[in-house]
Amino acid sequence: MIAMDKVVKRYKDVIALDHFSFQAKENEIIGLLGPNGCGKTTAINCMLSLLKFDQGTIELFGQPVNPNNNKTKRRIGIVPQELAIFDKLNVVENIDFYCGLYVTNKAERKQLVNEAIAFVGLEKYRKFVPKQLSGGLKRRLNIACGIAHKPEILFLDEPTVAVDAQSRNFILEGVKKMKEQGTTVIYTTHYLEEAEDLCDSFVIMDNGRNVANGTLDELQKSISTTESITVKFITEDDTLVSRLKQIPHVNQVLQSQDKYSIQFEKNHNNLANLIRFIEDNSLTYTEIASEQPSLSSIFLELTGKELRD
Amino acid sequence: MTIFKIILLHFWKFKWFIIPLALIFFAIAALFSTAGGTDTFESETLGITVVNNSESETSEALIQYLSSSHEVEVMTEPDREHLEEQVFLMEIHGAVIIEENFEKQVKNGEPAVEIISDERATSAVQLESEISKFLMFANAQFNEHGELDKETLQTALTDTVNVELNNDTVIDTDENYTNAAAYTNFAAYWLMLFIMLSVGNLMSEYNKPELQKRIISAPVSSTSSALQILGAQSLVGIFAVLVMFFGLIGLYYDRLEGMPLAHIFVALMLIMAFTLALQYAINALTTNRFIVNGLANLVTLGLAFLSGIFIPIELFGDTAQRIAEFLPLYHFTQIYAAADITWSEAALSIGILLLYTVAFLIIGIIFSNQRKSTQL
Repeated sequence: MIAMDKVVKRYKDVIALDHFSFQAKENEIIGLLGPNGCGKTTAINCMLSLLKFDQGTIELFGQPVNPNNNKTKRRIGIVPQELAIFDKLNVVENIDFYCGLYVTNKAERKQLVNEAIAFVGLEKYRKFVPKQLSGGLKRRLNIACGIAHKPEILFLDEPTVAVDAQSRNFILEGVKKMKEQGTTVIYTTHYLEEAEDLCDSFVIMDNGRNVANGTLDELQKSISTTESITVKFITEDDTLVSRLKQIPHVNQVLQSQDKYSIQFEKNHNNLANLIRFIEDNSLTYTEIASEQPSLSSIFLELTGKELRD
Repeated sequence: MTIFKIILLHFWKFKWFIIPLALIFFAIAALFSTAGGTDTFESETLGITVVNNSESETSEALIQYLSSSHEVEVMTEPDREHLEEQVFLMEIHGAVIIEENFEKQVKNGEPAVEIISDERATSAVQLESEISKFLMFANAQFNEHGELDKETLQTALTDTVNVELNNDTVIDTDENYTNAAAYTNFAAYWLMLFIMLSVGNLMSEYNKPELQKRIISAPVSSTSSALQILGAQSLVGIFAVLVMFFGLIGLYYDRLEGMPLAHIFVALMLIMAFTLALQYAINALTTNRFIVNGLANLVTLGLAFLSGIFIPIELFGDTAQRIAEFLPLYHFTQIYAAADITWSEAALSIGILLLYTVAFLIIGIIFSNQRKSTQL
C-alpha cells in the first residue's frame, strides 16, 4: 500500500531523510519510531505530498505520490500532532468541514460525521466548541476530523501526547478498531510500550535513516541482545552497575531506582552467571525475572539512545 | 463548496461583533443626518474701527450705514499693526480702511476698501457681506444717477422683505450632496474596519499551519480552495456594501436629489475589493491575531485621517495634501467628488483604486507562496 524507496530530503545542509525506505502492507499498524528530529514527520509529509523530496520514489496504492492526485488523496486520512481544529466551530461543524473536503454528498456526510463522533465517544459534546473540551477530548476531536471519511491509510502523528490515561486508552482502542475495519495505520509515537502493544510492525528511525524494521519478533532476532534479566536488589551500592557489567556476555545495564535491567548476548548461560555473581558478592534481591528484549532495549541497542517521553 | 460554506459560517460566528458595529455606524450616521439638516445664522452687532482716508460723501455714507447696526469708531491716522493686534486679540471684530480715492473706485466698481478681520470668525463673513452690499448699491446709484443719494441708499440698504419658506419643497442639492459625501466617507472607514477585522481574524485562524496541513492534504485543488475563499469573502463584502448603500438611501430617502448614487456605489465596491486585497496581503504575512487586529485599526484610521475622510483635506498642510493624493482612500473620495461628477472625471481615481487592488493581490500571492514553501 505504501512503498518508500531510498527517499532523500534535504533542508539546505541538513539531511532530514537519508535514503529512507520502508513498505506498509494492507491492514496493519506500523509504528514509526524515533527520537525528535529523526525525520518521522518529514517522512509523513513526503508521503502526503506536502513536501517535495530530492531523491527516491514514494508510491501509495501503487501510484507515485502527486499533490494533484485527488483520487489517491481521497483514500488518505491525517491526524497531525498539533490540534488541527477550528476554535470557533463546534464538534459537529469541525468534523463536518473536514469530512466535506472528501465527501460531497450531504446525507452520506451526515452519516459519516455521526459515526466518527460515536467512534471517538464525543456524543455528549456535539455542540461544544474546542475551548469547552478537555485536552483529551480535543485530541479525540482531532482524530475524528481525520477519520470521518473512512480513509484506507491513516497517518497518526503522536496522537496520545499530553493525553490523560482514559483518553489514551480510548484512542488506542480506536486505532485497533480501525485496523479491524481494514485501515492501514502509520503511527508515530515516543511511547515505546504503547507502540509495542499496538503495532504489528515497526520502523526504527534515526538521523533520517531506517535503522531497522519488522515485527517485534524479527527485531528481537536481529539484535545481539536476546535476553534481558531484571533484578530488584535490596543492597544500595553505587558501584553495582559497573560491577554487573563485569559479568560475562553483558551488553548493557540499566538502573531504575532499585531495579536493574541487564541485557545479555544471545546463546549463553546468562541466568546462571548472574546468580553466581549475586552469591559471590553476597547481594540480597527480592525479584529476578528473565524476559525477551523489549522494544525499548532494541531501540537502545540499535540507536545507542533511549527514547524518552 | 465546503470551504466556501465554512468561511460564511465563520462570518456568521462573528455576528455578535458585526451587528453592534453596524448598529453603532447607523446610529452615528442617523445623528449626522438629523443634525446636518439646518444651519442657522444670526447677524450680530460688531465692534468695527474705520480708518477714513477719503473724507468723501460716499465714505461718510458707508460709515453711517455701518453705524446704523454696529459700534463704529472712526480713526483718521491708521496704525495698521495696532489694528491687526486688536483683531487678533478680539478687542474688535474688524477694521475697515477706506482708500483715499474711495469715491472714484466705487464709481468704477474697483476694490475700494481693505478689511482686516479674523477669517475664522463668522463676524468676518458678516462684515464682508455688508460692505460688499454697500459697494454694490452705491455703484448702482452712481451708474444710474451719476451721483450718490445718501437717503435713498440708506433706505435701500436697510429695507427688508418677509420670505416664507416652505420646507416641504425646498430642494438643496448641495446639502444633499454634502450629506451623502459625509455618509460615504464614514461608510468607507466602517467597511474597511469591518472587513479587516472580520476577514483578518477569520483568515488568521484558517491559515494556521496545522489546519493548512490537513486542508492541503485533502482532495481539493489549491485553485478551487482559493476561489472558494475569495467567493465567500466577496459575498460578505458585497453584502456589507449593499447594507451601507441602502442605508444611505434609507436615511436620506427624501433628500436623494444631487447625490451621485451610482458613483457612490462603485466607490464602495472598489474600496471593498481594495480592502480584501490588502487584508489578503496582511494575512499572507502573518497569522498572528494581535498583529492582524493592530494593523486593521492602524491602517484604517491612518488612511482615513490622511485621506480626508474624517477631516477635510483642505485643512492639512501642502505636504499632507500631496501625500494624500497617493493614498487609495483619497481616490475613493474623488470618485464622488462632486454632485454632478461624470464617469470620465472619476475614471482616473477608479483606475488608481483598481491598480491598488491588483498590486496588493500580487503582493499577497508572492508572500503566500513564500510562506507555503517554508511551511511545507
